[in-house]
Amino acid sequence: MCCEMAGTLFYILMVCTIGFSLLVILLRSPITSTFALVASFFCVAGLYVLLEASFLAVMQVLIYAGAVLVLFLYVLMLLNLRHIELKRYKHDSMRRCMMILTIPVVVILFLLKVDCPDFSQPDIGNEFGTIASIGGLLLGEQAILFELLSVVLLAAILGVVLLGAKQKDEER
Amino acid sequence: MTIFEQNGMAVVARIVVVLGVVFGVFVYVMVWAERKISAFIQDRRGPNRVGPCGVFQGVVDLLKFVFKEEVCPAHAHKFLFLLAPCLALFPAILSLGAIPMGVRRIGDQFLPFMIADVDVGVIFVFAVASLGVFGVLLGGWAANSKYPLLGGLRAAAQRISYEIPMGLSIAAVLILAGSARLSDIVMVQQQSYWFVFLNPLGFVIFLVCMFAKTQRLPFDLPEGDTEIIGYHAEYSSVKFMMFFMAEYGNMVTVSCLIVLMFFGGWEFLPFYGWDRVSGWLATDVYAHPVLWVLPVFWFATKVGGFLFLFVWVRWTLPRFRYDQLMMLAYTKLIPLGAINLVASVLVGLYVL
Repeated sequence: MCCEMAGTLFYILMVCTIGFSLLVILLRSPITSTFALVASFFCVAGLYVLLEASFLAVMQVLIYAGAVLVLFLYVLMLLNLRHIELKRYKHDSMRRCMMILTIPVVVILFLLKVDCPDFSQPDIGNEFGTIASIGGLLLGEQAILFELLSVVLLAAILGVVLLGAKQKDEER
Repeated sequence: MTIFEQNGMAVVARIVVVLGVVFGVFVYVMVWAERKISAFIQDRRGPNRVGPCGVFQGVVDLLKFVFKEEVCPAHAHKFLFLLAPCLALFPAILSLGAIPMGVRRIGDQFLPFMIADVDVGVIFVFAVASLGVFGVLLGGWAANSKYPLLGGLRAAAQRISYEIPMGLSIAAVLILAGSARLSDIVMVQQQSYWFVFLNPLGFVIFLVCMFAKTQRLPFDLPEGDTEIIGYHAEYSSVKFMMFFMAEYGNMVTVSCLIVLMFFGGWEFLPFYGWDRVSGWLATDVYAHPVLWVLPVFWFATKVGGFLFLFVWVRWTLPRFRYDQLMMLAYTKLIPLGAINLVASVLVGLYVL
């Protein structure tokens, strides 16, 4: 598989990423927007795979698509948005203009022949995004920041638990 | 081998072989075996009309599903209603890409039989399995019906809650193995002890999470067999079959994972790997033109053993109530997983 296959894959992934990201803001229902976002993240993970940053690709899917967006969807489904609230976007002319304009934009991008990067010798080096390099960074050079990040996450969890507990008291 | 040096036709051939073997053989036999073993446990016969001992029941069931009427509820979102079973089946198939089934020695190198020998093997399977949550979540919502929606939310909450202790036990195995590549994990177990002996608590945690992620009894409440309505209530015929296939595909994937990570994969016995068998037989099992299937068959046997365990436990243990389920994950399995992680670090330092 030489650079042609990688080039074709790059074009497909590029168009899909941009297309799905545009769909996120242009679709009417928030739930379909979220699924377009899942697809967009998946395509970004594909771009990471082309760069041979395997760990980054897997973490993109695991954290973004698999955890963050599931919680997004959870909240959206519990919100129970009524069709009446969403209907006011039905004849939104601004949205229509944008949807019609995306096709020429994508075609122009394609025709300009956005340079296919040379995937056999990436500028970022061979060790970008592999487990060894990221693990070395997180637990070696940036270990203090890593520990501080875990303290920030702990603070977020404590805040959520406190907020949840407080509401129960107020209801009584 | 980077992705740019692969031969396209070889990749396609591997995909066809692995998916054909897993879905054509394993899942089909699993469907039949589940019904026969359930019948045996319940002191009845099981399918015995269609073919000898009912082996063609799966074919007939497939025909039944295909010819059934496709029902779509009136106010359901049509595209999402069609998308949900596909989203459930897609991770089940994709995660099979990084699972090795055997190994062959060519020259000095060991070449594992798998579709893609990614260097983040276990984490790839774990990440793709976490995409399965979308299938159930969307399945519950797209039917535009109250009780399936609640069932879908329950199922999603259960699956994402049990991902955490599963990740912790996988991390313990990664520490012991020193690499995330599944073939490397098996190689390390070949050189030292099987990880079920070095990491028994991790094995138990992974076993429990395995049942919870595939939503098999005793973690069956979101599916709601007999007591509560689940997320696939509004789906009929082929869409229901896709949910069904996704569940069996997930079972096979997760059984393969547990065999690879804790039971030495395709190795023969805990202290007697195929290289010692090769010495006894005076030929190299890994490089033999005929005997190379031995590790593959042994791996399939072990995976079959765990699939039998799935069916056995289904009719042995009662179902967990939903709050019991969540309490088990958050108050019991996560602390145990953390303790196991620390213990594996100590084991890794002083034993390996």
